[in-house]
Amino acid sequence: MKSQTIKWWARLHSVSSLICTAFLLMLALTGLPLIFEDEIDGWLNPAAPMNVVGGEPLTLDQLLAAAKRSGEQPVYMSFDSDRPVVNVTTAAIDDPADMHFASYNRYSGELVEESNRGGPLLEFILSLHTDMFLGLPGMLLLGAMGMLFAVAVISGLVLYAPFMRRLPFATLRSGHSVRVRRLDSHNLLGVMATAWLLVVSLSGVVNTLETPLLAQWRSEQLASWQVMEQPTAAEVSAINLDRAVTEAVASRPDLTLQFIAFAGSKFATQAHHAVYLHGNTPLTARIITPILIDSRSGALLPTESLPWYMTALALSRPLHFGDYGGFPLKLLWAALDLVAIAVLWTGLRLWWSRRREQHSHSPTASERV
Amino acid sequence: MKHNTTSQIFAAPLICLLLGSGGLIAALLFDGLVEQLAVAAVLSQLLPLGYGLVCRRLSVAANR
Repeated sequence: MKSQTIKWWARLHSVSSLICTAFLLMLALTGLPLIFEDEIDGWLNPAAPMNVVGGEPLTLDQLLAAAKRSGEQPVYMSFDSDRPVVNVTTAAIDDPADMHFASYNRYSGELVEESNRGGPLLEFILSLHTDMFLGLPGMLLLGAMGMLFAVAVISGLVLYAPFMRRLPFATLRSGHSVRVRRLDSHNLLGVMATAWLLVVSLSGVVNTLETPLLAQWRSEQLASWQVMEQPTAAEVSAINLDRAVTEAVASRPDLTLQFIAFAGSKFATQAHHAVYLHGNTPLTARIITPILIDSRSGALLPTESLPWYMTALALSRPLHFGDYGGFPLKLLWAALDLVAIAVLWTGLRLWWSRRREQHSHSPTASERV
Repeated sequence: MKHNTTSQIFAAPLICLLLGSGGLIAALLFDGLVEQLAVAAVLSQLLPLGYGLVCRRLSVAANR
């Protein structure tokens, strides 16, 4: 590689790293406790013992009746995977933004104590990690930082070659100056974790696009479904929801019920309930398939599977969170997160010491590589 | 001084890259034993650090 080319890549590596380092350090530090969010949540909020009675579970219509609140209509119904609990979200008819969430025992219909998921500290960390309390602009800014980090990783990989021309792999020159030791650590840690750094940063970028992708899907897919006039509350309650949902689930025996979006909600049309199913393998469990139910007749409507960008979004989540391989993978994710912090920190210190050297004009021969 | 060729420089990092990315994807695609092996493949990405800290640092120290 020519020296001019090396300089160009070095400049790209410095600039792309410098812009994103502060953000990436924040993301790596806040991401560490979020890896163990479930464990921390279970520790802070142990699940209250449930009164599980025998026999058949209540029908969805019975549960919906139990969840009925004056002046409100159902918006979503979801199902816990680890306990017989149905969660019902309702919204005020005159103010759809005013929502109420409640969980019910699937067998007795009793109200189940709402879990205080994560608590205020984890919520704070999650908001900081997701959008820095800035909403969509914050998410997009973090997405741009993720892209810059990917550029920094790739340019770092290109620069690895000239640095390692005379050194065997994984050499850590312990007898040299602090700067050389730091450079060796930075190169080794960075090159060995390249795959993880790229996967997590790029899947994070896709996650930051969640809001625009959902908006795109809603405008494209939902608009393409047959839109009918808004049904009245009496018409909606007239259908046998339990039978319609059972038929929808039976139409795709390879899938499992995930949640129901009622007509008029964000994930359904004005005239159709949408039943969302997911697969049963580690891969397909992340991909949802919608089936529409006519909210007046209860008839099922044929629907298409999700577009590619929604599938990409669904798959980017596990690849970013590392929650798909059990606790061992979470531990590994935490270890690699610490590696990322070390790469960022050593990179920052290298830039700072070089800058100081340039200002003092006193580079020492032993510190050159 | 003998210079490393590009293939010598990138052989080990490429193995890390393939093990890491292959393991991450395989753990997502499969369950059971294959998933555990995939997680082990991701874990093996960290082995060069141990090699560097134990072998390469000591050998450099011995050569000084």
